[in-house]
Amino acid sequence: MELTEEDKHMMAGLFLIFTLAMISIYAKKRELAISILVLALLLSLMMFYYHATDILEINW
Amino acid sequence: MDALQKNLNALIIFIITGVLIGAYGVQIIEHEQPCPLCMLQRLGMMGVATSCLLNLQFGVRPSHYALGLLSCLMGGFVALRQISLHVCPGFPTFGLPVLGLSLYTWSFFIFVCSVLAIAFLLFLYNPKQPLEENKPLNLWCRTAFIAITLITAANIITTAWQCGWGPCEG
Repeated sequence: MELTEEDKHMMAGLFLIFTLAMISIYAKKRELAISILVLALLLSLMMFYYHATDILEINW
Repeated sequence: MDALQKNLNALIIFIITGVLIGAYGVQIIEHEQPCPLCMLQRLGMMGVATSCLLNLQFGVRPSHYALGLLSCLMGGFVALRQISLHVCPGFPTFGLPVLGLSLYTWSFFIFVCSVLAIAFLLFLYNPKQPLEENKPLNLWCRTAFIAITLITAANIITTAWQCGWGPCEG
């Protein structure tokens, strides 16, 4: 289960999005922080879906 | 009561930070590069920590706990997926075991414990208590804030360092 080249960029991007959410909290922007966190979770789920289907298929 | 809840939220952040530092320890000392599913589990833990940060900064609200639970669900699914990949007898596990269990199994326990902790904090939550929004953080909470932000920033750097921000060559 190796990281593909695209994964590595996207993974670093996901960590960056989480950091942006934390910075928004520090800057006291609640709605922005929640929006960024929800976006980050959705993107993480999309990444998980990609790994659960395209990389290693699940046999349901 | 709000102060107690905030301090407990900070405690959760410290525990998650400790776990992420431990993962770094394995990565650096054992030279074991994290797999995509491992990184997604780290992201799930950061989601839990971020929801706790929301409670610290904007006061304790059920909507913040809901985000924490969603993060637990996401991270827990990923951990369960990785456990199921290696669960069959005779099938090699991924990475070195810690105290007899693989890191992804520990990760699943952490998400389960996070759900239990959030459930406990929701029991403590009183909707009638005044919302302490934008109140200055005490040293304990401020340290938790800095610790989790630093470890998240470190993850950006190490993940980008593995491959760089431009076209990946290695």
